[in-house]
Amino acid sequence: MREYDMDQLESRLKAKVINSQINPPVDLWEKIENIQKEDDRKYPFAWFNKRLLTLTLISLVGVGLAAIYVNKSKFESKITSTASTVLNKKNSVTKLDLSDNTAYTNNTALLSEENNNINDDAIINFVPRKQLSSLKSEKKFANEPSSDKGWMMVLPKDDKTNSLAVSQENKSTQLNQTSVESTVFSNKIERLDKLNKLQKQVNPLVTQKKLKTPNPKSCYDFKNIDLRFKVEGYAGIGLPSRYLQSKSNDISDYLELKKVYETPQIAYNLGASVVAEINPRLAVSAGIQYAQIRELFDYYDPLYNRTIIIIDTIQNGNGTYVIQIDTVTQLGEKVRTTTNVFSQIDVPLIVGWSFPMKKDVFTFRIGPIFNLDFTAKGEYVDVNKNLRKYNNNQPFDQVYRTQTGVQLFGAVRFEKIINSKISVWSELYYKHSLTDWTVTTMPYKQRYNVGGVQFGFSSYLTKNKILK
Amino acid sequence: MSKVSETEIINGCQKGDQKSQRQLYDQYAPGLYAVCLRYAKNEQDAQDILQESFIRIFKYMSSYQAKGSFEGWLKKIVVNVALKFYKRFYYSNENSELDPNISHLAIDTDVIDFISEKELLSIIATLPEILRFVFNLHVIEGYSHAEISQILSIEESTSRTYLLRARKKLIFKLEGLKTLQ
Repeated sequence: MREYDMDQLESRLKAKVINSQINPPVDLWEKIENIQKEDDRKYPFAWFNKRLLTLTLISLVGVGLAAIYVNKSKFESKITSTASTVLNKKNSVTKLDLSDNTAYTNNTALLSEENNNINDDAIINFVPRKQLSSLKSEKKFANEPSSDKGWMMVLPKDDKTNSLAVSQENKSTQLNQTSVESTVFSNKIERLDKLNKLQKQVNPLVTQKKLKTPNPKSCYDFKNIDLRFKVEGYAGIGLPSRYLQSKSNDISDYLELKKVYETPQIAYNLGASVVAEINPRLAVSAGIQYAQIRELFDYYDPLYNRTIIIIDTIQNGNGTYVIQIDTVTQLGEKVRTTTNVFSQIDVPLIVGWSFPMKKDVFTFRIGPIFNLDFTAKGEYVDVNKNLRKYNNNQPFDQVYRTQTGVQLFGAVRFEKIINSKISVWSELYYKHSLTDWTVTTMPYKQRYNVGGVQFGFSSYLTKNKILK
Repeated sequence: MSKVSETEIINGCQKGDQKSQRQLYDQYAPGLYAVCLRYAKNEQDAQDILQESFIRIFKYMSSYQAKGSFEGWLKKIVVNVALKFYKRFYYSNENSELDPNISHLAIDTDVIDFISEKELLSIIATLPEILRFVFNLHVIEGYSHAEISQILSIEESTSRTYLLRARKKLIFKLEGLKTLQ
């Protein structure tokens, strides 16, 4: 036998393997082809694209804020509004027909609260300032403002029978002036005396009719869609349940091992949403939420090792000392316990149907939750039983998709109305994943469903309606 | 079936032609699979690496400029994919189960002539990842220790140490094989 040095061995070895050709398995091309096709394939929902979804979300929030602003302006006071808008409210406003009255044609209107909740406080009369000025010139309204532009809103006495007489005929009174100067309700008492004086002037000029009591049922009139907005904040806790299925039978042992190593622990979520109440029963909401699922990972690591540095002093024969430093690697075993964290940023689009009970509301809620982003942190054991870390940044290392698709959300909510603006609620929910979270190259499918409870509050951006 | 020229395949693949992609696979997959087997720990990993490599090759084919060998470009992609595949194990799987009796770096190299390519690759595959990478990069691909230190983000001296360890382990395995024969 001849012995060669290492270089010779390596050069012979290199020569043997450098140009070696080994045929890969026959089905490998099919796998590559399938992956390429899947990469090319779009998501079933064309709009389910990160950018488009973000734009949709921003638009939704924008529309919501705009609507909130509009509603807020409307609620805060009826400070400036167009008279024609007020008067054109079908069935909700008792309109006037004063055409036969030359002195006060088109000058008196009756406003009501939204949705026909007509009461005495809400009866408001409009009188053109010009006419007030003419009355002033007759020294009947000496204390009224001097401007004769626009309209003056006046409030009647509480007594209905003494209020301004109005016609119930459903004729539209078109007012040309767009600006109506109004008196805020809070000033009502201060000005009541003045108004009574004014009424005495006005009353003889109009015919008197009794007000019709509004029908509360019309509150639920679907034709009268008047969006009301509220914002919600919530936090929840739940128990995740894992759906794990093999794509082929030969990894069933691995899945059993995975079940032993990985134990679902708990799920949290935190979110906010804008709710649009289409009517007192039906509401739709859109928002954004952060959800987290935690999983305990216990791994028996047979390759655990640690390095110890040993510093020793040895006495030589001649009486001198030598310091000896040794590095010792100890091989051992260790059970590694880590927590895997799956984080999601989702957009829930939920429809709710309410059943009011005095001041409490019972609501069924259902809708899809679209995932914007998914990240997995932690460790797992691969099919070859090697310990690995989740790494979403490397496409090849991916176990989970970066977007986990759609979840179906269902909940039963009990809501307690605190006051006209605030309510608190709790709900039992269940989130069911409709798509697998694992990438298509994984030999198994995995996803989580979560059931739990959420607590939150709702703040109306408009005055709350309590159903009768 | 006549062998299609390399240029035709490249042009076809750059246009996304599936037929050309298949031709590229048929022509180069065996050579690239051997490279995968050298870097991978087992055949399953090698198949995964080859699969990912071809997906990347097709994806980045449009950026290929005919500078240097096309096969070299393909192999470089395969090596990069393999390195990324095992990157996180550089330091975790280091198992220093060296045989204390091996004190020399010499072996009867005739043993190499008696074993098949696949057997030789499987022996290389038994090396821990980091040792296997250093051995492959230095001995087979011809990278210097300075280059390896950059590729693997390790010290140059560490690369030398790993090569030494890899050699020792390889000799140990080959000695065992020789004894069996």
